[in-house]
Amino acid sequence: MTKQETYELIESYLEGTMTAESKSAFEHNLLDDETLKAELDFHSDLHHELSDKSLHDFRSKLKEADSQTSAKTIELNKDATPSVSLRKYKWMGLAASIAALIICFQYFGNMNPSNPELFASNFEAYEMVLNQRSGDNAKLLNQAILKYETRNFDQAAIDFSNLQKEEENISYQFYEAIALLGSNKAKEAKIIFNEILEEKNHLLSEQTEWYLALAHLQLDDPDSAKSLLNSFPKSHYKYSAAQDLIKSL
Amino acid sequence: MIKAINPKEQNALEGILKGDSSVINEVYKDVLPSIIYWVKKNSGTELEARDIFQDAMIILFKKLGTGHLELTCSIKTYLKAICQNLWLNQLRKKSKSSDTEISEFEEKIAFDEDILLNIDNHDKRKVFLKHFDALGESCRKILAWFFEKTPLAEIANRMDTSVNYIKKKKFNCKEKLVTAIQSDAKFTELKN
Repeated sequence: MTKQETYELIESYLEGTMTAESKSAFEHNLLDDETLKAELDFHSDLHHELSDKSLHDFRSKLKEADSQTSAKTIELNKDATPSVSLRKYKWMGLAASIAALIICFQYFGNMNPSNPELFASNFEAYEMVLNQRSGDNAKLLNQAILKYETRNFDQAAIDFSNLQKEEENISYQFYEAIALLGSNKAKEAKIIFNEILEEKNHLLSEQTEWYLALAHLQLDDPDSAKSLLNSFPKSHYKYSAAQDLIKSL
Repeated sequence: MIKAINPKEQNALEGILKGDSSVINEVYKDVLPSIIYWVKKNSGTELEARDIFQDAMIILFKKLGTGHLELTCSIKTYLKAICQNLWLNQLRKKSKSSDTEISEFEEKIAFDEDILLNIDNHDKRKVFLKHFDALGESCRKILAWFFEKTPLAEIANRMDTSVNYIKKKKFNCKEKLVTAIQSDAKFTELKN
């Protein structure tokens, strides 16, 4: 029997197109022929894994989504959540407490949360995606990253500001502004966010818009926050969160 | 039963299952950066992170396809757990990391057995898909139709050629694929 004939035999067995007689003979052969049995198992796996058209389509879409997030975009994009740590739990605990507090207020007092409260329940420091490195400014950068990651926002803001005296970098500006926001200095943060937004279509534009809206809330300026949030297109990474927030304003 | 932690996540799971591009893009935008960040922090590269993220999405998709997935965490957490497990497996194999670092991961990745099983199943699938992707376009087309149980006559019609030609071509393509898979060291490793 040629290899092609073996393949066709296996295929007709797998597809269930064999006559009862051929099937019985084939199954009888399987009992004695280990190689044929192994070949059948392999082809069965192959057919099973590659017959899923929806998987092929899904993979094409994954490739599309992957190519849309270019290497550069990913370097500075979005709110990557840090690894689980006590620090994170504390942070989440604080946010949860504030959220719980807000719910209690709404329930007992029929009051809407204040804008700073809305800020507190929505603010989460953007994940640090800058890498520690060696070379020029390394010490200061590493220090700034550490301060930011340990939520020492006052010092992180100073460090990121100092870094920009050595090297112009929009991501340093961005982290400086987040750190300022984290230390209740929304007024200063707002100025920096607006500067970043002057760079049209920058990789951090969407993130900056979101944090600028939060800065408006911290400054008790719901109208500006609402107007900005309303301008988010559906494709914006914070579209849903923005819609939720608008409802609370 | 497919169940997520809230209606929004439920819609997202259903979107993934349907292959809704906008939902897939949203998940990429939302989760991939943190995976890249984490993998890079743990001896990997961005490309490796993208690769395992794609694997995690396929594992999730296949799991959804079984109709049995009840999430008690967010999709992001679920995907991250899969990625961490995938990366941990790779680190072990490559011995890129010290034992200390690996045990540190293990503490973080206490996840249900189900994910681990899905990851194991995915390894073989990945080898199959890798070699399938490496075939020429006409081979991929013919075999994809064939695996979908499209009659050879219909494939011949679509390719504007004879059934005999398709029969021969299908065998040659499949043989090429089988040889490539069986010569892959990863496949041998999985078999043993």
